[in-house]
Amino acid sequence: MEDLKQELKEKIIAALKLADMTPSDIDNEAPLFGDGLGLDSIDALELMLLLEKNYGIRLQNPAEGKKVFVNIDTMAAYVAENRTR
Amino acid sequence: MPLGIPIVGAGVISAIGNGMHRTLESLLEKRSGIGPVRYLTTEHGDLPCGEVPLSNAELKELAGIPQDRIVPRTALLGIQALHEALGTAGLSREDISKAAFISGTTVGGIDITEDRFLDYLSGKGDPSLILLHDCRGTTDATSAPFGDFAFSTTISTACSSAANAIIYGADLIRAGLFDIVVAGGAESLSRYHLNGFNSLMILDREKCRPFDETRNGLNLGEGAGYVVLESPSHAEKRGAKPLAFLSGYGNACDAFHQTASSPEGDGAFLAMKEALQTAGLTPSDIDYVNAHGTSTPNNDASESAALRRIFGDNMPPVSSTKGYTGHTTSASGSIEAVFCILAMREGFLPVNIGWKTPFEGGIVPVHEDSRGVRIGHVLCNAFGFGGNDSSLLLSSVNTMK
Amino acid sequence: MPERIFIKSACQISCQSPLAEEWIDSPVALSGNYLRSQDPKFSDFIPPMHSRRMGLLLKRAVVTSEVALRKAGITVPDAIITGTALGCMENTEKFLGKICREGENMLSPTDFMQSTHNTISSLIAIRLHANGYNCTYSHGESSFGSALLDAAVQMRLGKIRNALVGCHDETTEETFRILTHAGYFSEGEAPATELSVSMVLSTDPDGALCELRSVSVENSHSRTADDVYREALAKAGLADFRGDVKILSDEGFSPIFGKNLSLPAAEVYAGAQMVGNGRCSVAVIVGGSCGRSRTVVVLSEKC
Repeated sequence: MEDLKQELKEKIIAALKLADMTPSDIDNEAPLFGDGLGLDSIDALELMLLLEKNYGIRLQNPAEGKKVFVNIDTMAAYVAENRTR
Repeated sequence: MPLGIPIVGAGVISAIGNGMHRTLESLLEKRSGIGPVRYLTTEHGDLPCGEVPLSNAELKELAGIPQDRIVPRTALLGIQALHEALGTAGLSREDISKAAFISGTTVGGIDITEDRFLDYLSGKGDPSLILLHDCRGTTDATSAPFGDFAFSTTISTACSSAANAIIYGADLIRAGLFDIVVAGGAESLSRYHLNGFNSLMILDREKCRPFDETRNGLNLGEGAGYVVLESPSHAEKRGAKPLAFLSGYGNACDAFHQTASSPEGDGAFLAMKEALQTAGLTPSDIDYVNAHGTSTPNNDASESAALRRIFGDNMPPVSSTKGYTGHTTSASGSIEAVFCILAMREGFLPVNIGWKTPFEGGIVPVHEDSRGVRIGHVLCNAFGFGGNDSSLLLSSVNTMK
Repeated sequence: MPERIFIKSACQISCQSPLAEEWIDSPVALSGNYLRSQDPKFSDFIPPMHSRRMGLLLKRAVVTSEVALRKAGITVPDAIITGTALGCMENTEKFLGKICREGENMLSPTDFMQSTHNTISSLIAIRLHANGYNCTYSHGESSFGSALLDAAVQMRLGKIRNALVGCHDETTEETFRILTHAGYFSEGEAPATELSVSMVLSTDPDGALCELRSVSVENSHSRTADDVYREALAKAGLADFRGDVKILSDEGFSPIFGKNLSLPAAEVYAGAQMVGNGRCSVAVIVGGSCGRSRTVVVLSEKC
């Protein structure tokens, strides 16, 4: 699971162009949206794209995404359970 | 005191008809033009769209353009609407040579580019077609059959482009720079923006339902609409009879997010407020609002909030006509302005088709037929990505006597 | 009574030294067929978290806008009016390229959102919390002229007291190749370049570079350069002016700023700086003449 979390952090940094950040800057429990990393609705769509491209998971709408993208922990748990690749 | 700029000509084409006559029939019969695409080549053929039911070949034939000439579909649609607008205004080529042409579009000639882009990148492709890619190429191709305007330009503010073209045209007349301005917009479907909107997950796989509780996104549409604005003194001299008047207008920026509207509809509120102020009218003077009403969860909630801020508990009849045409993006402001002109002249309120149930905080739109309605003043909203929010205040000829 | 209009500030990012006027006395000599702009250090102006989604064109537009506003002493302008002939080509090429090469699935919303022409004006307004008039013109080489005319008209109508007016175009490698093939860029002419210009117009003359006496955009007809120039001066009320007049045109300025569709904006910027620095009393800009439309602007010293 730790490997997956590290991998997710790397992919998030690349997909969202967080150029100044490294995986160690992202806390597993820190909120991705709102006060934590401060991502927005477009980033949410990009994260949905990330899940589909890399793990074959297709979320139906942004509302579904909200529950998945709370933090790295929730994201990793969801990917581990639902990945098709 | 109302600005009272005469609108002496109008033209329109959309999924519900080519020309004002056919369009009026569709609106009165509540006939939607949304369905599967027939002419656009796309992997997303399951997405309902408001496609104009004419192929490029048919549009060229109508315009007398040789079949082997490649013209952006946006311009082919624009030519139809422009032809009607200039005809109803009775403008000669000499009038046109002294007039301005302001057209709104965002996709321009991208339908030509998207079929050939990889060729262009490898150094192949017809150079003259490459130059049709940009907005200017399309605007010029639209006006070319009718003569040489003294000044042409293209406004590109996404879904408020055509509305802003009309606003700029009105300002040019008020500033005394032109006596006649032809303004509006055109946009065809393209793989580019169909996929763009799809990537934003704001398209509905079902037919759209503006202001409905179950609304789940928009259907893309295409079309063109133009109005001919003329200074009052020049119109009188020419004996031109107004179809309606442009009494006020507002352009404001939501300044919230590039693809979402602020929850309280700040930009929309400011645009409508400015339209009322410039017309010297109050909210109680408005008899109908043609909403932007795209059927996205975000827009309809945001626009409802803005409408409540303007009208409070005294909401006039409001409807979105995007259930008929789909969202015609850059052309929507002018297409829907023409719908408002038709509504005022024929005395009916366009029904908001697709609506069944209100949502909390949402306006309850016009959902039943009405005829013989006295419509004096109308607000026509057009809100674009990037928070480019505009509102036109149109008045019937009876109010200006 | 029509308001008098002044250009308070103007700045550029181009193939010359950015955000500076060194080009007036020591311009960088241009060579080759294709030159990208000299960029400032963007992180000095925009935090990485904000700039991460912006391509070069957006970063340049944001920086020139904010520098121009700072120099003019204005925090939130009454209007933001932008010209761009081709928009954000980097994003357009990415999104379109993906559709063409890989099909219509799994496409990035960021690339689409950043490719629409009005994303420039919108982003500037979001950063400044500016709710005022906001518009974007995209009409080849008269994109800037259309934007400037709109600002001038609104000021004369008393709708606004100041406006941020800019014009921005980028020439990516792909754009350069495609437009060369189309015949717009050619060897032996000034190199293909890109440009970002922002300026602040105001009815307040305090600290302004110059006065904007007149602006017009017309579809090019066959009039001689002399006729255009004489008529422009007459329209600006300067028919009898016998002082130092500088004419700025594509011919004169493409050796300095190269060739691109935003060149008329560079010419107005240059004219404002030259009048403001006392290099001439009146500047007549005749921009875009080689294309289908002509932008004619007259600037003078404030008096």
